[in-house]
Amino acid sequence: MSRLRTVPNRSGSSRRLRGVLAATALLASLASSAFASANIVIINLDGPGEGFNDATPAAPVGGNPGTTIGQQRLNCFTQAASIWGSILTSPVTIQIQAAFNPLTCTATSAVLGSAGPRFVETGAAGLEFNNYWYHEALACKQAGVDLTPLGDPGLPPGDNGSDINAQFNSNLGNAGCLTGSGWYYGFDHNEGALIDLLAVLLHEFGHGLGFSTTTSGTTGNYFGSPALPAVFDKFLFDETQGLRWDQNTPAQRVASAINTGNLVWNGQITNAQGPLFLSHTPQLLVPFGSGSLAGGNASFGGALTLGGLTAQAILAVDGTAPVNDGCEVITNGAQLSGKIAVIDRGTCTFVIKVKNAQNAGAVGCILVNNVAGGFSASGSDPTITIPVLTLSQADGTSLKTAIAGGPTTVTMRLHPTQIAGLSAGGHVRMFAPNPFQNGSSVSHFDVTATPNLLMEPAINPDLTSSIDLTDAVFRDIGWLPRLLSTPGGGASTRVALANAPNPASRATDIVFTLAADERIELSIYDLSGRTVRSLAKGTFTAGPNTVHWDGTDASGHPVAPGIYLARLKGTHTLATHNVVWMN
Amino acid sequence: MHLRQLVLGAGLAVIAAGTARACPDHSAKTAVSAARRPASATALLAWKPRAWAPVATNAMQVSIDPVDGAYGMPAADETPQVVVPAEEQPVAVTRRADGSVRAQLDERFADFAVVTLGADGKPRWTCVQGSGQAAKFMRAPAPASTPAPGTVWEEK
Repeated sequence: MSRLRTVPNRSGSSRRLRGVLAATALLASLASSAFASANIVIINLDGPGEGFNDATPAAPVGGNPGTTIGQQRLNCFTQAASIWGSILTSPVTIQIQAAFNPLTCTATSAVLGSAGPRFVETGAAGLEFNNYWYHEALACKQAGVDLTPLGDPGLPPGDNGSDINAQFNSNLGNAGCLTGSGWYYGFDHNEGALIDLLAVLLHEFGHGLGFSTTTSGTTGNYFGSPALPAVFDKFLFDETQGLRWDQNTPAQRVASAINTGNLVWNGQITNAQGPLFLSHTPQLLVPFGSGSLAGGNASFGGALTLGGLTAQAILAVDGTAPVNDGCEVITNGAQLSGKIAVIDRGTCTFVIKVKNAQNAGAVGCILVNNVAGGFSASGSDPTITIPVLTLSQADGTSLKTAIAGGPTTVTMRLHPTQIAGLSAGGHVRMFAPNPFQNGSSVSHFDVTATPNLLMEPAINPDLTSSIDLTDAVFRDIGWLPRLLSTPGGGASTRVALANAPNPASRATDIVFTLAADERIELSIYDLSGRTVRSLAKGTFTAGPNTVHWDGTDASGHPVAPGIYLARLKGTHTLATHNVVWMN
Repeated sequence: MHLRQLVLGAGLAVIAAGTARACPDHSAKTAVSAARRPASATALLAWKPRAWAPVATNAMQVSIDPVDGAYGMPAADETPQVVVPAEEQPVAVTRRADGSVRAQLDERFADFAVVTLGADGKPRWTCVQGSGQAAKFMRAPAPASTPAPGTVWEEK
């Protein structure tokens, strides 16, 4: 629920400005739900008829009830603020001043917008760590007072002392400005060819609230006078150096910023949550070369397991050129039955290929890229039950060469120790490409993470409104209590997730206790991160709740023995629990 | 010469911090505080996001003679030709009586979402820090950071 409201004083009492702003409806704020633990207000800086006040009629879309462009924009902002506000806690209102303005763009590229902290603080009473720079909103939370109150003599004339500045492109989608690819204002992330404003806002607000360093990645120098590390640096850790960014030298930080795979986040909560949230990488064991090939994920099909599926690999033939793309009925079914089909990418969807292989009797399917590099296969068909794995073009070629040379037995499985997005040391990797990508390096999660994360530098369309591992990072830097998960994997401060019996064989009850009514989603995932079964979706009441799982997947088939993840996700809840399934 | 340059550098740093824009004017605290309140809704309506504070790129330079300690203009060859990265240019700093410090950031420290159409015609957006990087992106649009192979889901 979002509503217009006045701006309370950030330390609790009202401001003189309050009445004026309320009367002119200049301010919108997030909803005050039972859980709202940080109040985030959006200060609308647009003038009449523009930006947030654009009166152009619009049809409600994707859960956004606005009936004008301006309303829909403001609703997106309040929705993003509501999501962050329901997760963070602060006794001080967080203010985001925002506007839509024409920003730089061409027909094919554009500046979408920007957001960032307006101030950083050090030395204020109440800050957890001395001699670190804190983003303003976090500093105010920890200090318990508004450190930039209206009228502060240190502020420029007219400055409202807000914590975050946000400015977004009002021309997007118009002629000459990424023509036709404008904003999508829905809340359901069903943006199609448009730009998902809510996802962009969630990401950029994340930076403004604390997910960034003020330390230069190009010189390694700390920011400001006094030159101090950011509190973010306290958790940036170089596994090669064995040093954090608040411990190493400028030269070491420069080297660390391009130490791909070895610049990591080393915080107590993220270290605990990373392995639970991220997925094991697929792997193909082969009787040649080094003995294994790195695989890619598919979003459909049966689950890969740590134990794996072992069978002979056979190149599928469909009789229509190109004959190995599996887009038509497989013609070598007799040869393929009980074996693992190898199919080339191209012509038709992955789902069609795998379904054809399954219909021909294959027990597994390997999809081989038709261009350089790896890929992840998406699609949906609950009738596909055989496991699927993808290979790069080079690895696929070597596999096909082996098959041509004689019977080749392979094992499709999950890598026992390798988790996508984790370093060799078991930490969540930060983005540290070489060469340094000024502006993107360091202050993002690494792009290797699977599932994709909100705070990666390249935003992927499969994101939802979940802030995923950013929740853990924000606990580490002091936004939220540093409470570790309960034994067995419960991951939230507000909810304990468990199941009984565990291990289970015929059925199990998944139990969680909510502090208040909340809309949640409970799903079962395999260790590769794929959804096995969506168990519950809707509003659950405060107190203990029980959801029964009969051990079947979305197609109603019994799941294979192994470890599964029960994941409970709400706007302010993220809990994961291991469920062991036995025969 | 070495000492001279060190002193010069230290002097520059102090001056830069001291002359940073928008230092608090404690002498006019009360009056300014009242005057800064928006007078009316109209004033606020017209108030677009303030341009981020411009960067102070110049500062007085002094040299201290290593022999007699006298202040003077630095010789031509003593003027450091240092290219300071944008993110290290001075910002406005407020030092409070309790010892705490607030630095006011500008658009160099904001995160910019930028987008370009991919080969498939779909928009691909990425995140870069600072207006300079956003401008650089617009001069040569390309995804600043490419997702790792296999982390983008594709249907065919």
